[in-house]
Amino acid sequence: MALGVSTTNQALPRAERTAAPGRSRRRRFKSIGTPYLLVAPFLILFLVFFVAPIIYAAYVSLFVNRLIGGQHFVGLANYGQVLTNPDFWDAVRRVATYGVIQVPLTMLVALGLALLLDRRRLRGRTLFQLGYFLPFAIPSVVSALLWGYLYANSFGVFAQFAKDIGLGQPDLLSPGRILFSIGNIALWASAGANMIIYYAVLRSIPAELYEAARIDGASELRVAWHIKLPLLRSSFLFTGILAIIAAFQLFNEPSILSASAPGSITQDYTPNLYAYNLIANAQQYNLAAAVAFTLAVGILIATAAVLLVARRKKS
Amino acid sequence: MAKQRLRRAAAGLAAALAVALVAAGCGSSGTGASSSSSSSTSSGGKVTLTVWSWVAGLQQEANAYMKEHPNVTVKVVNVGGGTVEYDKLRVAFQAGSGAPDITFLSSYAVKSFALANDIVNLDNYGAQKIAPTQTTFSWDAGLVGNGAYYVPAGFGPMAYFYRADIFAKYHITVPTTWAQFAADAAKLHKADPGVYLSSLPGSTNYLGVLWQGGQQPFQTSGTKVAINWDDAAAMKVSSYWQGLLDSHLLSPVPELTSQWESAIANGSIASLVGAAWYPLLLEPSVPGQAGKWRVALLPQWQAGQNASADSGMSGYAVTKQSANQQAAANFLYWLNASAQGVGMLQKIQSQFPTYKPLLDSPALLNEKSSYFGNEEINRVFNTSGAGISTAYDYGPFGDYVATEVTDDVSRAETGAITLPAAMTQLQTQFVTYAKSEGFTVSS
Repeated sequence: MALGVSTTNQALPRAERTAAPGRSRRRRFKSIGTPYLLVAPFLILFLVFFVAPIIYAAYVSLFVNRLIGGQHFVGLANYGQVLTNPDFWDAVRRVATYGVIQVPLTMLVALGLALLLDRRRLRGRTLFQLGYFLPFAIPSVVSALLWGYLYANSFGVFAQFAKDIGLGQPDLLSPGRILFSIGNIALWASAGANMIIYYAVLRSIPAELYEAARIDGASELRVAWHIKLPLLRSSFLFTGILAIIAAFQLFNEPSILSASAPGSITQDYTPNLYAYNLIANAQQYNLAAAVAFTLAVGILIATAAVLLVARRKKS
Repeated sequence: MAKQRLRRAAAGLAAALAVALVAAGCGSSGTGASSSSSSSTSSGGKVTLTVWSWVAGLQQEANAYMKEHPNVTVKVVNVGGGTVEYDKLRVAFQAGSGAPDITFLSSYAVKSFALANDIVNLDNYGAQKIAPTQTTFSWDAGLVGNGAYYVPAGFGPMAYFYRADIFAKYHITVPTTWAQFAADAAKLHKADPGVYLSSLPGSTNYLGVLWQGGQQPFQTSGTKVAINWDDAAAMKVSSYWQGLLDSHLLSPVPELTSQWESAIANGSIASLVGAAWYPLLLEPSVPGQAGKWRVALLPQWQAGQNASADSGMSGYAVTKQSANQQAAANFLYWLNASAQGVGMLQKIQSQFPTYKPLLDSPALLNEKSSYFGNEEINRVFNTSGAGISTAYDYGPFGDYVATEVTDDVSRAETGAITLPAAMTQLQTQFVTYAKSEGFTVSS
């Protein structure tokens, strides 16, 4: 927006720009002020609801508030407590395991779907597009509830089907399987969203490139490998980073499923769930703030690492 | 939705739990207004009281009160059950505004709110005059340093619910001791591998069976607390249930989940270790089993005794933020210690009363329940209530304890930990927590 305004100004005839000094000052204010005015609604909300709470949480994380004895400043002691807590590390390990499987899998499925949609001879493209994308439009709380019913051991669809074909009645909500069951929900929900992003990029590839490839006698597979995939690179990076962040912040699905599988999803199942329960259950707001910050720093490091690796590969 | 919330709600449960669920299912109650948090204002002698409660239909009692007290307006808001409500309360208390005048609390949560100075000592508002109308143990549950911090509204004497038809079919006699319960569990499961005698008591029911077994986990006096979570009684009870888990004699379905309801409905669970509010859970969710269920006293550790426990006692407290504490207290005295108020709670919400004149009244005791084959079930609950040991203390952070125990018992059910090991671990955890919260701990 800022760019647009200043170019217009420069494009004005010289005579206009060197008009009376008073008018010019007003104009200069207009040219500088307008963009800020336009971003102000966002900026104010961003400061009030995003930056301010973060600063407040950082402040809170340096104190401890006891039932007996009230509030004390403790410096970084809360962080020490978080970093030495095995429950926290178990939770981190869980989401890391989840991420290692979930992130590439979601991207692969999304890529497969996008490539299929991009094939030239495909009927009912809009229908498929919509169908794959639809799960993303369902709030994750609702989908977790629905999947919870589907997974249930005594009346769930999967368990009953497995029983009917003689595979016993697998408990999809058991401690050993629950992480995969959660991953399946996330895959179902996010593959379509990533697919749309990839597909949009594929559609924007100029037809000339394909024509040239075809004149050279390249097969569909080679076109995909040498043209489509390299051009998708930056979207891979983008969706990959978002997926890593989402994995670390896993909350809704385990939180909802814990009602059906109380023994499989404990209060400290994921770092976010752990922070939430520190407040909701143990009333340790300060410790929860420290968990949140530790997690944020962790995500920052993970994201930076991915970006670094990606950049090094490029050069 | 109602069923999914079951477990969470159950953790904070009251005699009214089932009522709340039914209401949530019907989409009634004032959840829509949950964000409204008006603290009361008085102008020209008119008083407005806001009540947070997950007891469905409480506005009816409030309306009756308003009819008699035209200068008082009572608004009931349902902000969610159990821990859901406590979360919101804590946020309001932390913020310094937004709390209601009156809040519904499980008895185990009273002390933690009282210690944080969020609710007031009702003795300053004449609570002593209604103390004699309440059963001793229910009144004692709200005492902190001899001050009464809540008025009990109903309790959940534990009882044993069983399917008379299944018991007759497999020639099972109703167990009067836990030893017999274990034998029955084996006999029934052998006769029909698709049927289990019961499931592991989950949520506050596990606290209840520990209590019945004689556990004395906490002794609180001021900021000092003695913690003996893994005492001999707790270990005895936990080893017993672990034995049943190990021999696969309990239904693998966790209690108070939608799967559990479905297991009851399809007849694979033949009995339940429950409390006085279980009829409210059973009647709406398995109407088809009307006439098949019966109620008996809990099995005993020593034959011939009547040891029992509470699961789900709850009541009302007045908040520090209230601008009309006396008016709020007066409403509570009417609601929980007058024939009209308690009568309505019992009739409309089926709360099992702590108010002695009603608790011991022939009208209540002689009432026949058609769902339970015309049995006088209130008589059973009354007898069970008389067997509740008064020497039980949930400790100064009871809601934390209840949630942690629920969590560990659920994990034991999946085999991730054994129940006795869970007790030992909880002991360490509670001691650590108490210390970190500034208590002086002994054990």
